[in-house]
Amino acid sequence: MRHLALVAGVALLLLMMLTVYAVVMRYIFNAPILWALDVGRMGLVVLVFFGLGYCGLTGGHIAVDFISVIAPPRFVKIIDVIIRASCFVLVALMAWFGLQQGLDAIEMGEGTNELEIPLAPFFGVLAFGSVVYCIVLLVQVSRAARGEPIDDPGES
Amino acid sequence: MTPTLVGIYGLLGLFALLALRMPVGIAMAVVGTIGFGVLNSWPAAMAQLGREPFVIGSSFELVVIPLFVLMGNLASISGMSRDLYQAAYSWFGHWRGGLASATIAACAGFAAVSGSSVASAVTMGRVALPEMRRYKYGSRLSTGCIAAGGTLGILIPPSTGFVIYAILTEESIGRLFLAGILPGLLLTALFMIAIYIQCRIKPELGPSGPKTPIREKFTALRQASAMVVIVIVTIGGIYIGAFSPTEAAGVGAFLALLLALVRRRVTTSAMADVLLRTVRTTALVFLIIVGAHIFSPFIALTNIPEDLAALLGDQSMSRVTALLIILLTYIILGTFLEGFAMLVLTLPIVHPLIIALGYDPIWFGVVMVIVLEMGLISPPVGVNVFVVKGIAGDVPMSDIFLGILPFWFAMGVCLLLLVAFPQIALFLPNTMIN
Repeated sequence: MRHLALVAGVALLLLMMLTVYAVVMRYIFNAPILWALDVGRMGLVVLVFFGLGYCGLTGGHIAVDFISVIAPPRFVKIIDVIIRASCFVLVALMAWFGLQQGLDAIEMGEGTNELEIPLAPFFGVLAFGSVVYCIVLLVQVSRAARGEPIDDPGES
Repeated sequence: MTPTLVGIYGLLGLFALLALRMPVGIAMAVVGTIGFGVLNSWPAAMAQLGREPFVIGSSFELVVIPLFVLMGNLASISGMSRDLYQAAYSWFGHWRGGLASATIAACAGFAAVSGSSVASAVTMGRVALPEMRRYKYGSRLSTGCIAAGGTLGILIPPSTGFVIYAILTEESIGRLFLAGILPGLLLTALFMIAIYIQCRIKPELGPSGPKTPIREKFTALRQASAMVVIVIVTIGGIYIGAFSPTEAAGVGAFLALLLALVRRRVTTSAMADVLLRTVRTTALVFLIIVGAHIFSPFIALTNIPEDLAALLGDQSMSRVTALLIILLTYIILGTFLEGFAMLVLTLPIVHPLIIALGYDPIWFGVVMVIVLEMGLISPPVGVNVFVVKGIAGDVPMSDIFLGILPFWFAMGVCLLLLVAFPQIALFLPNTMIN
């Protein structure tokens, strides 16, 4: 999970360099690079969806926590299992229909505006990242069922 | 079932899911998808669920978020926080409560490279708290000023709060950033006044430090100048129209990386930590934005915004009264809802309402962010309070909340000033060069 997030981190550094490069080309060489936008967009897809699972595993996704303060632990355990399982269903649907959209994108030959980078592989990135997050959610369901802490400690 | 009724069930369902600890982004996506399916059609709802995450995840203007987060995280490891604190201390240290005022000033400075309140509170807290302890500052004042000062992170640009507001309401990120500058400085000044008054009444709270010779003051300023350069390039670049916010963020992150490299702060593990933290924040922000984008079409189908606007209109309420009711609701919501969650949950309803009342949406963005800041430090779930508690473990929670109270009122004053004089927020964006 951490490795996938580090890949996302590398994508982030490349995004940064790309932006700087585009600015330098525009101001110093007076040669704006139009493809920066296309590459930036696809880089962002990698960054966001490869980071999703890591964020979930380290308890990063913002939630409102007061049930654990007022309810008995047994009840909290059951709730945690149900809620994480529902999250799993939603993210799985997101991966599945994302994949469908990707197949449509192949059929329609959809690509980015300038470079015509095909969109389909990036729908694949979306689906893959979502599936990884699904696995994280399953791990959390089983942890919740066994009454273990749900989240790993994150870097901070 | 009328659309309005479906909408009300949807909102109730959403609150139930949130109360049961479902992550905010997922909860909004669940309710949005089901609601859209009921009111429109299931295939359309499913297509939206497959499409929207990609549209958001591949939106070029959102590249600004990870880049500004990266800039703030790099600034954290570059040792900039210590320089800022030194500079602020050498100028304000000999005042009554000078260390606390210096903490506020340094927080404001750090806020100009960081878009996150939590990051600002953590970074400045680690530097400032030991110093204030050394000079025997009251624990209420010292923890309160860090928690409050940290909140400036989302008011002074860059700010994740403004970016999310801009994305949800289709306003300009650049204009919102500029609108945050003067209110940010105003709030910084109000915080300092709050410290001065407290120390005037109880001088033992914050004894004044030694006076710094003028030469040293300028040396300290020069030390902090690297940060000033980054701020001028990024925010100044947006103001004169040289950079788009995304470009400013990229250049700012790059400069922060250079600074950290020059100061030899970049180790493999520090860099991995910066990247992982940035990736994590990016994923959580995007999941929330995706959720919000699946949720708002559903709310738009329900007529709830129109119904509410009509309701406010029926009561023949003046627009100021309507605004005050909205703000009061937000302040109450903010005490138990996480800030971003509150923003994304309510904006689909409140933004049309604000436009209907004839208020400037940019100005309202600033007002919203200040209300969010109040939520960040108010009990029971003020995030910044927990952050400060994490740094100052031995100070009881109740003391931190008491210490925050004067700053909370300062925010209230700032809010009233903004309502009375909207120009404070609107002057810079209206004079920016496009």
